[in-house]
Amino acid sequence: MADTRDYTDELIEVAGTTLQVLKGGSGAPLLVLHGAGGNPGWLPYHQALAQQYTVYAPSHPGYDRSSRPDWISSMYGMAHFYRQFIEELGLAPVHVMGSSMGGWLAAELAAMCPPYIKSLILVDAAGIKPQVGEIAEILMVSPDVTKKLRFYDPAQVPDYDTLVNRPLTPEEQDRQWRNREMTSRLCWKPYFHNPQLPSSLRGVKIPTLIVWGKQDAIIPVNCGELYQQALANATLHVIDRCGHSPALEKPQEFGQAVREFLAKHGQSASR
Amino acid sequence: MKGKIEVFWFSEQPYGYVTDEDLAKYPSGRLDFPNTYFDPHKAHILYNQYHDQYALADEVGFDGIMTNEHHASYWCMKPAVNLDAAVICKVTKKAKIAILGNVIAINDPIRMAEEIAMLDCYSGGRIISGFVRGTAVESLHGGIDPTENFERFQEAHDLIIKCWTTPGPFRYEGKYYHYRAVNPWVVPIQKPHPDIWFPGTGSPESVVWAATHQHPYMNLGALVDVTEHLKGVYIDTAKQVGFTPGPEHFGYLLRALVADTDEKAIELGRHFMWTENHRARGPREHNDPPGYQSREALKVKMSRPTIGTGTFGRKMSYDELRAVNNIIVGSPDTVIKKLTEIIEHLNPGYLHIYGNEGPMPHQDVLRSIELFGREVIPALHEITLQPYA
Repeated sequence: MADTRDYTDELIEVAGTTLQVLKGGSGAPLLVLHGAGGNPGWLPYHQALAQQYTVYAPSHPGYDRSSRPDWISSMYGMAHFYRQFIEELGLAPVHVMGSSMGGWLAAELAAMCPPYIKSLILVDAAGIKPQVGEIAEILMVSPDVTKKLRFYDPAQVPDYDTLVNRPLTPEEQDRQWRNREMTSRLCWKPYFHNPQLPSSLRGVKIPTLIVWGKQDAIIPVNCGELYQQALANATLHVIDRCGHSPALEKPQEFGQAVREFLAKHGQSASR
Repeated sequence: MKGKIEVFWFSEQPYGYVTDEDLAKYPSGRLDFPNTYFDPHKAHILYNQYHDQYALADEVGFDGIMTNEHHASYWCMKPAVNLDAAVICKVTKKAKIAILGNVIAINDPIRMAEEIAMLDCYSGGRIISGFVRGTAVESLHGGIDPTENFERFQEAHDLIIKCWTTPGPFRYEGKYYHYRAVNPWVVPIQKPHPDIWFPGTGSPESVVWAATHQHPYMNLGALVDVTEHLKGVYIDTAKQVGFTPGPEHFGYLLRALVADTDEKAIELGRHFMWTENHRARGPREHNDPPGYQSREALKVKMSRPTIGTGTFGRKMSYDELRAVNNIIVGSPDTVIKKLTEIIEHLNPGYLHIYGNEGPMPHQDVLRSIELFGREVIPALHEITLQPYA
């Protein structure tokens, strides 16, 4: 994991699970849900958000140093875990931001318990089957293939060689392998989507920002449009010349969109 | 205790028209190699040749015929092993029929129980029912999450046995399988059920699982020293479980061919190396996806050279494989001598002759089967197997 600035890295017991949680900042709680590769660590965008919010960036059960309870074998089960997480930590109503697979998780959580969520940010989110294009194969290929699909232009990614492209230590390789195993459990079939999700989201009025890289080669931007149709109060912000990870590839435009959205729906739940 | 070895004929039923040049164009030899290379009319001829080989093996004195299943594989045209076993039932009279095996984790276990019971009835009780996890590609091709493979395998194994041993109707609600009215009309002739075999190529976990369930373990072509080690693991586990294993619990597969002269056999045997570099070539995610096997099992596999059916480790040449008796080719006298060494060393109750590969000419394979049956197998039957200490 990248190591930057002011946050804690702790193991906590929650919902019968040992959970690794990165936490930093102050203000209203903001839950950041990572994607299929596992927790990327405390990155600059976490740090930026921590200026105004208390950012919780857990490693999902089965990822990184978090334990894997047998009962969590689907995204639905994972959403139930986070419902309990929010309850036990007393975070509701909480801002939730999810990227890629984490966006799918955030959407499931929003469908499950809307009152718990103050606002929702979905970033190149899995969860809905595209009507145009398809979700790229990432489980039956090597991580290097996925890495190539991830960015429109790696040269746009600040610190690409240290954040994304550095060789992994043996310990990190083992962790990556375990993370990929958990992703298989959650996302194998149906592949990175839940056919019921669009219907489950019907009537959910949580203020939602949908951010998408226009050239996302892993989850087509069409999925962003489908999320916008499914959610009653959603804005779609498409970033041009950007792939699957806008927070890394277009940090300024991504950061501005998120800041403006949170400012609008923002700080009243401060604790 | 089993005192005499049983010799089984085995062919993967390859589609021998594929070449290295064809395969080299694609990122992997299985999931990426397009089926446009498959000509059903050529397959029609090949299938019937393979069936003729079965009939001859039975006629000349093989004790059994073993068959298997793979998917998306040019080297094994058997995506449905029970169909092949049905053919064997009808073209043979005496030979045991070892299905090694059904990939039960990717199939419906009730259907498996029914089909195998049918085969036991067809054959008059000649079925040996092997169950396999399959290579990881079997799970990927079948749309099964590879992390679920072993749990599904174990649950399906238990449920199939329950179908054979518990009068229906009954209700079953497990983790992966759910039926509220199980009542298969057809049950096996053999009671309580056909013998169950479990194969492996090198993982100690497979050996432990087989021994824990008191199922015979069939090693599919590992090098002799590795096989000897795994046999030791079986014996140790059996003792912990509480039974005394013997040759009836252990089998070994190797590639072998007999011809009228050593020179001719050595030349024909080169076909055993057909597309050797491509059959398991592909990204690690095809052969070893996350969660399919433990890290410990993989480390064992990576630590040794690979052999014919193996996936990992360093490749060995034809001459190297012959030198270590992993491929045995020659005249009847040569093959008798080498197989006797293997049998006296490993003391297996079952020897599986992987006797055909790639574009090996049908007439030469028939001649090999004939020489095995008329000359080699009678000599091997003279060997007295020893109890396991």
